[in-house]
Amino acid sequence: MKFQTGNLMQVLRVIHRLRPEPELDPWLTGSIMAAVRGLGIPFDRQFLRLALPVSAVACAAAAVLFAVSSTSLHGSDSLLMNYAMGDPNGLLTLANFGM
Amino acid sequence: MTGKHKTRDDDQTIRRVLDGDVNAFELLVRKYQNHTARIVGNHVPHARVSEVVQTVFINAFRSLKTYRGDRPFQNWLSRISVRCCYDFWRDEYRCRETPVSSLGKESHDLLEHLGTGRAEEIFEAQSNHAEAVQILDWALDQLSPEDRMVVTLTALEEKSVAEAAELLGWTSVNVKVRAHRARKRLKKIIEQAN
Repeated sequence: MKFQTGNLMQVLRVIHRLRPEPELDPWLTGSIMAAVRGLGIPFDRQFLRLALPVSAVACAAAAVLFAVSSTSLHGSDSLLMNYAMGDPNGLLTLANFGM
Repeated sequence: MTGKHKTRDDDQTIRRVLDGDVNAFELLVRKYQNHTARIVGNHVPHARVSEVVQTVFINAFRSLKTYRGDRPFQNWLSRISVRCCYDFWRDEYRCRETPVSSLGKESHDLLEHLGTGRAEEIFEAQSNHAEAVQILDWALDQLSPEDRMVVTLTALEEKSVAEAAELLGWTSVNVKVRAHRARKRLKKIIEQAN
């Protein structure tokens, strides 16, 4: 049987519109998110997220140590030791060495 | 909510995801899963829609870095959806055959009316809807995945050549040529079935 292409396409369009809305799996969002979490965030971004704050804190600490040690007669290691011993002024050290 | 606000919200959510807040992606999934399901449902069997929708969102997450934000996220996702449907059919078509005899008697009766233009009246009866969709799916099954996708987008969903080209990632010339050939093939398939 020969059909007119225009007529046929019009009818097929009507049929196509008759397709019911698909019913989604109720757990679809959960399963997508589980798969996505498994993939994780891209490694380069994850690395930057961790590396940047850590290096910023380390730089700041190094700068503070440098500033303190350069204005003090004692080295930064003995200053740290004094603080650790609860003697920020280093009086115990002076007394121990008879200074 | 206006389109601009929606786009700005989406851009913020995408920024959060790219900054490492993977859970923010759920907002995009919830917002666009029905839209994606409608597109996918027009191309693949309903029993497989959820599976393809999941693939769409996983692919979207994987390539989120490439989303430039110069057009709405919904359009970007539509393009991924259509390409996932195309991939679905390429996988499905390997080693597959659907004979004419798989259609029921009612389907054969309906087939005879397809070219007469009276089919709309026939489909008004609710009981015939499923049969009619079955005929269309059977006819589409005879086409190659490329022809199936292009004829669905251009002839059945009445998308322009430019829109179909954008969704499929093909050139406009390719879409035009393929759509013309696919329509002729579809017509021939239905004529031969009568």
